Amino acid sequence: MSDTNKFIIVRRDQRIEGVVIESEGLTIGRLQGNDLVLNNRAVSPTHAGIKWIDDQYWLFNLSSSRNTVLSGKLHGYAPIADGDVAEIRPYLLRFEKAEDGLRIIVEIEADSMIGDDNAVASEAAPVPTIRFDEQALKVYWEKRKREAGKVAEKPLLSPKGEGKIGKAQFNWIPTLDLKQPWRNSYFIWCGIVVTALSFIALIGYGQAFSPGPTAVAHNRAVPSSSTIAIRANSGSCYECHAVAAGKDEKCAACHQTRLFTPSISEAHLRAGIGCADCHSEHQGADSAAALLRSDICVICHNDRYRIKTGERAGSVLGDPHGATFGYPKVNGVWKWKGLTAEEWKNRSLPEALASRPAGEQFHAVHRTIYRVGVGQGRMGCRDCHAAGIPEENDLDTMPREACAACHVKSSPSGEESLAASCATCHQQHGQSRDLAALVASVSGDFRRLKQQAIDRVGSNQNPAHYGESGARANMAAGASNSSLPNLGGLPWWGWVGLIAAFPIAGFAFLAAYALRARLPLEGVRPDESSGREEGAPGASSFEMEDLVYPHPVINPLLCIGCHACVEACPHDVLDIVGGVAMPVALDQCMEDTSCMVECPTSPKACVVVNTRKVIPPRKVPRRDQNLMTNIPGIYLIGDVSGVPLIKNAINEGARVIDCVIEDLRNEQPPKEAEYDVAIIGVGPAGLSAAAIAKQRGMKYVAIEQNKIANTIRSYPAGKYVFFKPDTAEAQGVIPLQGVGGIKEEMLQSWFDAVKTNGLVIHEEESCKKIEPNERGFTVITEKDGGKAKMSYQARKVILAIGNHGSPMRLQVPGEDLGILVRPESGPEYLDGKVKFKLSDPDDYVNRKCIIVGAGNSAIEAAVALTGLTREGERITFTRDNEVTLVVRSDFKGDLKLGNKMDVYDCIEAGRIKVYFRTAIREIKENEVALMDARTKEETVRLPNDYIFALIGSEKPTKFLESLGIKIG
Amino acid sequence: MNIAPALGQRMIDQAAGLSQFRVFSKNHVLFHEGAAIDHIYIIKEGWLRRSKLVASEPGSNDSRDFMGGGYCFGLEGLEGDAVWPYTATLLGRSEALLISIAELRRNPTLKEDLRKELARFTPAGGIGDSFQSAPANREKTLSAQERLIKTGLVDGTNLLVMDMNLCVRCGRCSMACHKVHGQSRLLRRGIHIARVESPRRAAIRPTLAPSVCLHCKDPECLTGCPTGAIGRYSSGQIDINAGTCIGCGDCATNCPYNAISMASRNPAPPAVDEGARGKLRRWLSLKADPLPPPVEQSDELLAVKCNLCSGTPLNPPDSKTPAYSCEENCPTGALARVNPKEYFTEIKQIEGLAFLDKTHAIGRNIHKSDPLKSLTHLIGAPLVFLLNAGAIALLNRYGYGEPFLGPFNMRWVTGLAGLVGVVAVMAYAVRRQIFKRRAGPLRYWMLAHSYLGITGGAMILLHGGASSGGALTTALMISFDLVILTGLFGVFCYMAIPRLLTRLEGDPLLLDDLLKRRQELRDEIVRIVKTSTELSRRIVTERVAAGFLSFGFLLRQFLKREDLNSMLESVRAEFKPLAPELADEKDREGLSKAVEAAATLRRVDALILLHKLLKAWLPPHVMATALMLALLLVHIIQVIYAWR
Repeated sequence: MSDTNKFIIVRRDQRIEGVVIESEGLTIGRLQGNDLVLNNRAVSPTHAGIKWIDDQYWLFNLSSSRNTVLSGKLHGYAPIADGDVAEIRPYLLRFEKAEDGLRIIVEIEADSMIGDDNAVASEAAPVPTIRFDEQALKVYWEKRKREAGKVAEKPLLSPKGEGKIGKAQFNWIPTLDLKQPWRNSYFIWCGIVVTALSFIALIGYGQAFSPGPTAVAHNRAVPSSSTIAIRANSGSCYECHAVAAGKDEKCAACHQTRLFTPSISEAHLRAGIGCADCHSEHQGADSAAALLRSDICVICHNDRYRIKTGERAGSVLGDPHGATFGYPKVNGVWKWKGLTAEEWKNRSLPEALASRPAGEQFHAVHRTIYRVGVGQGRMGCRDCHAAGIPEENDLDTMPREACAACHVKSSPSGEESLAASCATCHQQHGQSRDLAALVASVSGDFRRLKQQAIDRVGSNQNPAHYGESGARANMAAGASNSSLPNLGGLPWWGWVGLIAAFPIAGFAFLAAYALRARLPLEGVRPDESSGREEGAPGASSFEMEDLVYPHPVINPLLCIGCHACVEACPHDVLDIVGGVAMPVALDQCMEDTSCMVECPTSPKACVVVNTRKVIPPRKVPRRDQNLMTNIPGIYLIGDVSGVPLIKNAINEGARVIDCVIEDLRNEQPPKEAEYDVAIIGVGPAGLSAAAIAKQRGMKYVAIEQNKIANTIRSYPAGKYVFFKPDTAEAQGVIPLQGVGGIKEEMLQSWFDAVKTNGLVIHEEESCKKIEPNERGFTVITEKDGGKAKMSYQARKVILAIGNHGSPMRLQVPGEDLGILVRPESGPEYLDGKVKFKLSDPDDYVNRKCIIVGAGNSAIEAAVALTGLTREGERITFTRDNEVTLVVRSDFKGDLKLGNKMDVYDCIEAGRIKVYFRTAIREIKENEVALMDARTKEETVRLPNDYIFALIGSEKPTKFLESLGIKIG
Repeated sequence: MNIAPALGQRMIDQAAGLSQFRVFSKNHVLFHEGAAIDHIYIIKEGWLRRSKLVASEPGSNDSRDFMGGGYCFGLEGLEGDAVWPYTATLLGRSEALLISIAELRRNPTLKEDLRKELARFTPAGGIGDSFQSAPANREKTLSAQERLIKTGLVDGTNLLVMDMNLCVRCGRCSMACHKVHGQSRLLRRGIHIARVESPRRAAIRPTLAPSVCLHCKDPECLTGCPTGAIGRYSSGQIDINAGTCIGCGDCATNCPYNAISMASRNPAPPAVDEGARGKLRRWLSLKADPLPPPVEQSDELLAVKCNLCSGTPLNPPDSKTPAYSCEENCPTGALARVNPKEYFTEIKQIEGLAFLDKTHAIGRNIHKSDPLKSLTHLIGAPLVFLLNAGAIALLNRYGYGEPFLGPFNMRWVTGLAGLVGVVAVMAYAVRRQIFKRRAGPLRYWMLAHSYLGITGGAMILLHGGASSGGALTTALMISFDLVILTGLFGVFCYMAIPRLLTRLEGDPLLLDDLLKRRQELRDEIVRIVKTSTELSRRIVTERVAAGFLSFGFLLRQFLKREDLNSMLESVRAEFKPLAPELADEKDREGLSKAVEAAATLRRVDALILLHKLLKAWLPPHVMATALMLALLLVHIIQVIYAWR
């Protein structure tokens, strides 16, 4: 079957000759993806296919809703003989077998737009013998149909399950793309959380906003809960930091001593070094730490710093003591000059030592210091001269390395230490006892604190960092401020941890995810009873007739052929074929469902399948199987009940009387009244009821507000009326024989029946009120336009008022104007200028007509007045009326497609002029003023003969509701 | 037709009598190999495939190539009787001028003149001669050409293409469309074409033409519309007039690219509780905004489609260049609206000489030649280097404390530079909220965001140095670290994952589809287990599930990066020996199905995880940023008050 066949296409309709198509199987249809495109609304998307099987061409009907007709017979598939003609309306396809392929000649069939399939369909098609795999063919054509519709195919990993079907598949659906991965509220919540944490920190942890704990002395006063506060108090930042004042003034405010500032060395003062430059805070609770950062001096005294001011400006500040930490012997010469008695005193050391030689003083000073490291005693010789007496050649330098054990700026662990520093010897403010006293009072036992710090350093000794070179390295590192270990607030392991957290979390998640996948399999047992057959491929999925999109299905046994669904469908999907409704253009179905809503039968004869819409109940008066409404004693028959068609009405009229008689018999206690039954409205139903009532010898009164069968009277003259439904026979007395007849003849036969039966009908009498009372009902009527009032007592009431109602009026000046008509033959007569229906378009020749309204009846009337006639694609207009449409807003939404196309064609051809958003302002004898519907300003004046006000009618539902009859 | 000026008026007049203009439909065979040449064909518009029954040279299987409009065929037939050396089949609706050779022979002067002129428009003799590709790329180029022509993408006038190697699947294009139009008209799945990056390079660029209107030259959607609501408008876009659209959906049915969707005419407004409390709740809700509801068949429908953002504030009437919200809002520049004939070089090169416009750049390729993007890189990369190197040098010279710039020391300078960086970086977040106005393509903002982030981050790290101060500033620094790390991780994801995805996925799909497919596959495996016999069930649960629904097999997806088909091939081979153990034919079938489903499931899982990872890094980045901003504010207040 995979051979490629050759098709030669001759398009007579497009004047294209001999297009050669080489295809495995030719598809014919409306969609562009077909091999042969027949672009007409009446053709299905993919309508038919032709394929070469077993040495002959076969024609396949691939359309589910429309027919493909081959040589006068309807086929699912059939072999093509030379000279066969296939009909795909409105196209005719002539097949000729050419030498190298099949020649297909396409023509437009001019008169095939309207027609009936029945004649052809009724002939049973002989099933040809099939010698090929039908299932494979179905799959093949199904595939081709899909190809014709869509270009894109499904990727390998896309879901196989069908999504929505039919037209619903094009409905917009949201995708996850429209979901934001994060919300702006994340920002807000983070802000809230941070603010809350800040407050908690403020209350619970006073130092939260400080770069480090402040000295106890500075923090001693009552800790404030608001360290960032307006009031300057102890423990608050403002104690020292202030926007306006300098920190030095703040220090001086407490540290009051006369000699404080003057005692600073002149060189330091000149360089602008203030309190905070040497004494830093936030070093810890220990105020001693704050006194002097041990490494502070080497920031300048480091062999690189150049003095900026004074007489030594420009010269380098050298490393103190040749970077020996003050070991006083340089190149074998003892350098230390010793301390004065005053200095000994200031350091709380014995003054007597002042008189000793410098070398002894040096050792004596150190021997006053508690020993570094373990133990309690003071420093001894072995603390420095551990190796014993040095050799001759290294006598000058050997103990020097031991100095670093104390005289170094930081411990190996990186902590700031309180080791003996520059200030131990070189006092900046040492001249004043006042200061010493103050410091002592603030910090408690200074010596004890100092010792603790020294112990701390000593316990962490790391020889590698000591000695001259080690000390220098430490100093150099300190000068460049080693910044790497804690970059970004994290130690190195913090960074490693953070970065590693990503892959670790990823792996953990993956592993958990991988394991979860097996969970649904656990506990699954073989399910022999239900499962075995599930796996088999569903043979039914390729059923062509199994349409999956929404469409109406008609049950012909229930359908009464009432046209309700046909009228209701805005897309012309349904039509009456052979007396019952039939879906004739299924693919036009847009799931409107109004056909099903309007279907009057119960159960519904018209059911829309595959729809998810909720079908609302039909808005018709309620009545039970005895035709009685929810008000006991009131019956409802005919059109008003929602069941249309003349025959139905006549039959209901006959039936209702039997029901009334039955109910009257069962009445307890029997009521006494003037009449047994009052019949309101005398149309086919009322007439039939009255005739039967008379026949059964009941006392009846029949009331009609106009004339008998007024609605039918107003049909166009000579109209052929179908007596529908075809499926039923008329019962009762009112005659209705055959399938239809001319309106006048039918009415005449009814009038004859009225006469022969001696029926009394109260014409021109309008029922205004029906009041229930103990005797039944009082029916109040008006006569002669409300001048005379009548009242009848009846035990039962039958409403047969039809559903026509009274037409809505325009309510503009001049609505009741008359017009003098001078026909070519016959006498002049006066005619109403404003009409509420178009009885016969032939009555209007060369008239200027205005149609008011936007619904189906207005459009139909307007189109009828232009005399629009279609012959295939050609449009002609047979009447010469000047037609103007006046539309208040826009065409109604429920306008039928056919009407829409008609009116647009008329507008395009200039036969109908439309004024949108316009209403009638005033009617004069020969002209009409139009106005803007919203602003009420006059827009234009048009010459005019007739106005058709087709703006609907006041439905009888109002009257029914006033009686208390429930609707819907 | 551009041939006309070459021929001259006199020749045209003479030739007019001998020629006829014809329109052919798709699949028409213009001439057959071996048939006598009786007409000269000049192709005005359309595409045709030349094919030969036998390979032209031994060892070569290039028996086909493609020709665009602007060529002239059949000059060989002018002299003696000649036959067509190849078959020409039309691949789309085509227009051609036919000149009868028999008639032409009666007018020798005209024949000579025509031959001279038309020779310029005749393709070189054999099939494949017009190729500019390296021979190794020929087959790939051919299949890309075939796909472009067969899917009809070449007939678009304004085609949306996405480079899936750059697409980070963030869905912002769809989101931007949604924000501008009310319903997204862009679906990030559609026609996928693997094309060679350039005629000479073998690298494959996976290009996606997503399901969005390509504004066809010959739109099929138009033909079905019963009210004429759909049509071509002034700036070339096909658009739907909402006033006359009756929502019948015929255009959506007719569109071959699924580019038209049916929206509700009166969409239900999202349920929002009004008032201050409702507003507050909305502001604070951590739940994602609910997706808009899908359109139901019962809604009053209206067809919507891409209209190139015309009539939106993005394209005010006086704007000179068009702007498309999808293109504007793509953060990586993966998406571009292009003229297919200019963009797809492989199509360009098969266009006939008559249509070659010398002013066209060959293959505008946004990803290669995007001057603004290059400029951003050119400025950004040196800027990052210079600023950091400068800051480190200054730190070494002055340390933190020494003022060198008026009263400012390095602590201040790095801090302020970092602050400026943070503010500039946050401008991206503001830009991301803008959909309905032009605010510059997002891809440049994104690049600037990355560079500024790196620079600002480095400045702030230097600002902090080794001592992070108190608890607050340490928290601030750590939040900074998190922002920088998540940001760098995001950059890594955006660079690496799309390329990995394109290797794994075959044709690009939406996350929605993958999730659905995952469920289907899971259900299928469960169903197979349920319906099989005990032995088969054991094999499936113990061996198949253990083998494929495992951590290792998931990792294999990422590490091996094999083609889906070849992966399935190998797993089938792996389980073939097991089949004879099962007696029941149905069980054997079930086993092979289960094997395939499990392996496919793992591939789908891998894809889903990658999709999720592309999005997952962002919330931590955003949250860390929010934390950082809040702490930064406190820090700034602290600094201002502590300023001596």
